[in-house]
Amino acid sequence: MLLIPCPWCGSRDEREFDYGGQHVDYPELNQAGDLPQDAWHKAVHLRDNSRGEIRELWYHRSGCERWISVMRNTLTHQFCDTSNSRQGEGVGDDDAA
Amino acid sequence: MKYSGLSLLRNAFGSTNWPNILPPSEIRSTYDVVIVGGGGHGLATAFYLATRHGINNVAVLESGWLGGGNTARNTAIVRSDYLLDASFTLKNFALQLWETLGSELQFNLMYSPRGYVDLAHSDGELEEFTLRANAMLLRGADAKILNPIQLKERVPQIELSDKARYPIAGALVQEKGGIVRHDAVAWGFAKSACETGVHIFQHCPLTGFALNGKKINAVKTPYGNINCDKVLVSVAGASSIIANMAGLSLPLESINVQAFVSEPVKPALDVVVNYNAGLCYISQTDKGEFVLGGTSDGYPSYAKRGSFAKIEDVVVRAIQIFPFLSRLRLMRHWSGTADIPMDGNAIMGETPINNLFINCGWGYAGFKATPAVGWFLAELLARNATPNEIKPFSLDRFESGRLIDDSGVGPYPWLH
Repeated sequence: MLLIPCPWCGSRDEREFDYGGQHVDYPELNQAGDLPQDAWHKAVHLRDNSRGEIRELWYHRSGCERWISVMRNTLTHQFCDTSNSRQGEGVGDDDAA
Repeated sequence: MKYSGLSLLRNAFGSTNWPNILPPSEIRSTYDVVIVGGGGHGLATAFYLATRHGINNVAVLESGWLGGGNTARNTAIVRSDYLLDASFTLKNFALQLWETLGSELQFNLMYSPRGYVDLAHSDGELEEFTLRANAMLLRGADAKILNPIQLKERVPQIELSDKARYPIAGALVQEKGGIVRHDAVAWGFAKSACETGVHIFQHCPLTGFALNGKKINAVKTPYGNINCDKVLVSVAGASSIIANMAGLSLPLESINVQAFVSEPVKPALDVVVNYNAGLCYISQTDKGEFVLGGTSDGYPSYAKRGSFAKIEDVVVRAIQIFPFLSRLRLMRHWSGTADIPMDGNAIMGETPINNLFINCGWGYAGFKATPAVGWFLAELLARNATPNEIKPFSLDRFESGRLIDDSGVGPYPWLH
C-alpha cells in the first residue's frame, strides 16, 4: 500500500490517486518550427524505466484534485524529496484535469 | 533420458536413479547463440533452435532459477481470443502447439482445454465480442457467443442477477482455451533442450556486454566473458535494465502484477472465467485452489510486492461472478514484474545492434504465447531473417508509428 505524500493534503492512501506517468520535461517540444521525428518518439515512447528513483505525477482525484510531482523509488516504494513538489514544472491548478 | 512406462517401472522397483533434468555443464568460451533469460520464452527458443534448426551450441543464462520468474508467476491461462491479426496469429499458433507439446517434450504439461469464458457486461460489449468471435471463426479458431441462458448452462455457478453492479449480458467462449501447468513448461523445455546439447546455467546473471561499435563480441557474467555470434535478450521485467547495458532505451515500463490463490476446496469450477468490468480472471486448480488475478498495480515497480488495494479490487469482482467465493480464505499471494510497452503489445526482433535480438514487452500476457514465441525467435536467429508472423512486433514500430494497440489505450503502459 502506497502512502503518497500530497504536499497539499498530507500522506494519503494510493486509492485516492490516479497515476499520471513519469514526470519528464521536453523543452525542445515547445520550440517553434519543425521537430525531428526522433524528438517526438523520445517524448511519447521512451522511458528510463529505472530500478530506483523516478520523478512521477499523481492526480489526487479524491482529495485536493491537483496534480502532484513526487520522487519514488520503484524498488522499495519509498517516497523521497517531496520538498519542491509545489513548484513542480507544469503542475498546478491549470493542469488539473 | 526418455521417460517411459518401462523407466518408471525400473525406478519404482529397482534402484531409484532418476538422472538430473539439467546435467551440470562447463561454460564454453564461445557459443553460436547466447540466450539471456531462462524463462519459458528463452528456453523454448533454445529448444527449437536445436530441434528445428540443428543449432545446439547454445547457452541459456538465467539469473535466478528455472520456473522462478514470470513463467511460473502467471495464472497459467492459454487462449487465442484476439481481434487484431498479428496478435491472433501468434497466440492461435501457440494454442495448436500446446495440444501436442507435452508428448513432444516428454513432460506432463497438464494442458487442460477446459474452456475460456470471457464475460460481456453490456449489449454494446457483447456486440464487440461478437465481432471478435467472428474474426476468430474466419481465421479457423473456435469461438461461440452465449446469451445469458446459454451461459448459465455452460457455467451453472455464475451469478446472473440484474442486481449485480455490472450485470452480465453474455459471453464469448473459446473451448480450446484453458490451463497449462506453467512451471512444467520451463522444466519441459529445459529438459528437452539439454538433451540436444544446449547448456543452461542457473544463478548466472548477465553483468554487461562487450560491445564493439554495433556488434556484441561477448556477454559478461560473474563466471567470465562468453564470446558469441548472436545474443537474444528475453528477460521480461528486467528488459530495460539489460537493454541499458547495451546502450538501448526501450518503449516500455515495468509494472507489478499480483495473483493469489484461495484455500483448496472440492471441484466447483471447470472453466476459466474472465470478468471485464474492471478485470478479474478465475480458475480452479487440480488441487482445488481458486486462482485469481486482475490488472497490473498501475504504476512502475520492481518491488515484486503489491498493494492491498489491488487484492481487494480483484476479490470484489470475483465475488460478483461467484458469490460462494466469499466464504473462502486467501491462502497464498505473489507478484511478478511485467514489462508493458507503450501500445501494450510485445516487442520481438532486431535491435539497432547488429547481433542483438530482443523479446520483451509481453506484460502479463506472455505465457500463452510461449511455444510460438520460441518457434519464431529460433527461426529469426537461425535464418537471420524475421519471420512474417513476428514482423509486426518489431522494435522500430514505435518510431514509424505502426503500433499494435489491441485495446486502443494509447502510450500509457500502466493502463494496458
